[in-house]
Amino acid sequence: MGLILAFLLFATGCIHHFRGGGSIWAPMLVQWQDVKQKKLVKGTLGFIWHGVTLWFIGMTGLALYAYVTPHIAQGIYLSLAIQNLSFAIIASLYGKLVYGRFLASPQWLFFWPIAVAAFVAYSGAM
Amino acid sequence: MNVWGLLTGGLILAAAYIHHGLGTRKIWLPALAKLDEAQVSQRIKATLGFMWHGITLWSIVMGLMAIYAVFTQNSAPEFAKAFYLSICLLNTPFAIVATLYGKLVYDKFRASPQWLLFWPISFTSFLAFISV
Repeated sequence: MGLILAFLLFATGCIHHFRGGGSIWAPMLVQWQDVKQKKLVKGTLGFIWHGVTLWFIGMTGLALYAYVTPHIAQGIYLSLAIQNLSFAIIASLYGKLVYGRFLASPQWLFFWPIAVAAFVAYSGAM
Repeated sequence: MNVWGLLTGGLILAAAYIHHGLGTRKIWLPALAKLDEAQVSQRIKATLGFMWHGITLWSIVMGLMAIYAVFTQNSAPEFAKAFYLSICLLNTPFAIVATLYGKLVYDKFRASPQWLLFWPISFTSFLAFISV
């Protein structure tokens, strides 16, 4: 399960960077060029977007590390489960509550499987 | 008691407060207004919005994990180590990107000044990790 978790994390990082970059971030930047915006705002959202890519790579590395170091694996899996769960909850609620559509922020489709896989890996490492 | 762990937890909770309180007012709400003005799609706004608010909850969760690790360090040192390592490794990517992005893209380190929050968190969590 630890390997499946690592794969899910890596795949989500790739989807975020390539697919999300092409269909969400790049179009937003293009449309944003027409309006005046502070560098602080653009710099902050940009660093968050690209930071999340690197964050997924970091989590993939952690999941792989947990796979080869059983004595610390449980804590790492639990930590990954809790951290991804927070994003899964917000992604599920935000699109529905703010825009009336669960698919407005469809990223819960990635975060729930990751959170569940991490929890199963945690249970399996006991 | 692991003072570095406690400091890590305090820093992360402070960062969550700054992100949600100050950041939402100064960054997210003006950004949202401009996104509406530029008539970007719901999916783009919802994606950025969930990321913004997700980071608040993520920070709160990390802060609580760090504090939990402080008080369970003696009974479960493996968990404490794993939590600090995870916090360190997952804040460092944001610290690196925040440092580089503002400078490389907008030629101003202060275009993405959040590295001022992420580097201390990475540093203190590493110290907490090695002192378990």
